[in-house]
Amino acid sequence: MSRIDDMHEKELIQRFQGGESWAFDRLMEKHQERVYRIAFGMLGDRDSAADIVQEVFIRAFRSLKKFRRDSSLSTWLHRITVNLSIGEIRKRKVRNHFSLGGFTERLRSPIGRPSKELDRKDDRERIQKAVEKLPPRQRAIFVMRHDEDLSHVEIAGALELSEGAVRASYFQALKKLREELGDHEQA
Amino acid sequence: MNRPNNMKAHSLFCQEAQGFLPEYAGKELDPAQRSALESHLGECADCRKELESLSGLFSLLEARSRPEPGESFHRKMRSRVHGKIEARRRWTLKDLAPKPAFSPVFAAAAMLLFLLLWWTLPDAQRDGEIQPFLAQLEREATSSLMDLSLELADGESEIVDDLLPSTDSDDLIANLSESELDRLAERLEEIMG
Repeated sequence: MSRIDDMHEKELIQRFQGGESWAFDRLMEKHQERVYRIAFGMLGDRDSAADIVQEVFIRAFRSLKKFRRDSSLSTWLHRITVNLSIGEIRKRKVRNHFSLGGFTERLRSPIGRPSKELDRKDDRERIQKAVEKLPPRQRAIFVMRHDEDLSHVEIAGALELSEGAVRASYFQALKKLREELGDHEQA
Repeated sequence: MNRPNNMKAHSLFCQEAQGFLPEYAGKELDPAQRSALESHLGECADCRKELESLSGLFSLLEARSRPEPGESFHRKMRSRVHGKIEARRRWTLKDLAPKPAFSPVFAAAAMLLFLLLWWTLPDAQRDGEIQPFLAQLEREATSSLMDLSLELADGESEIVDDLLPSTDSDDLIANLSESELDRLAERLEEIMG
């Protein structure tokens, strides 16, 4: 992946706004991996994360011509990513409402598998399941802070919250994860 | 909420202090913040316990994977994005939806249609049955949009998002009747095979 500094990014945006569509591909190249990881962290599967990346950049392509440079492009992309991921979480809730989720859940059940070989994989699955129990916005804050190491200021900008609210929400997310994972430890 | 006995300029309440614990555990605080927090931790057993517990959690969370999309991801995604943009340019359902610039025109047309219906309805309907009639219309419209939202769940959902910017599936479901829930369940089974 090429490294593009902020000055270069502004120039690429200007070039795209001036009609040079190749500049969009460079911007996409820079930002798509993080967008993918945030969506994956929130949704837990690769196909859904890829769909979110696709939608984020389609929207970016359509709106970038009107993009005002008073906020950073990454903040804007992260906001779209989180909003689309929350939309996807809601759609899943509708599906699960009719018990279809329960069926797929049973299919994924690790019953009968040799536990030693899969300890680490089970840990990852257990953590992801605990993360998926967090409320959507708290989940977004956890993923951006813990997984992506974004600052409270960057997250606050993307989610249009105060820095203090992000800090408090992140701590609450950690407490819930600890309770959830702690319960599993005892089980 | 515990407050340290010897309050200093930088002393913290527990709630505020706990917001800084994750950064403290990760050694990310600047010296002034660290010093203020340590001063609080020195006197607050609850927050010390929270810190200890957080450290254990961070160790466990190290197992959390950080997925990389793979080398061919960018090329494939570029092709997907440009393909979709081109397809939507040619023909999109969104073209059928009211454009914001035409909103006043659509609003005026809807109002005229409503007045026309109002005056052509029999007196009994106008006086006593108009409310259930409108409620039925609203339920049918909501149910249709739910169907559309589910049908378009794999990529075209923005069309519905644009029509219903504040749609909350839970609220919609909560307001559906038993028969509408049954219809929605049947539709879901059809869509999901």
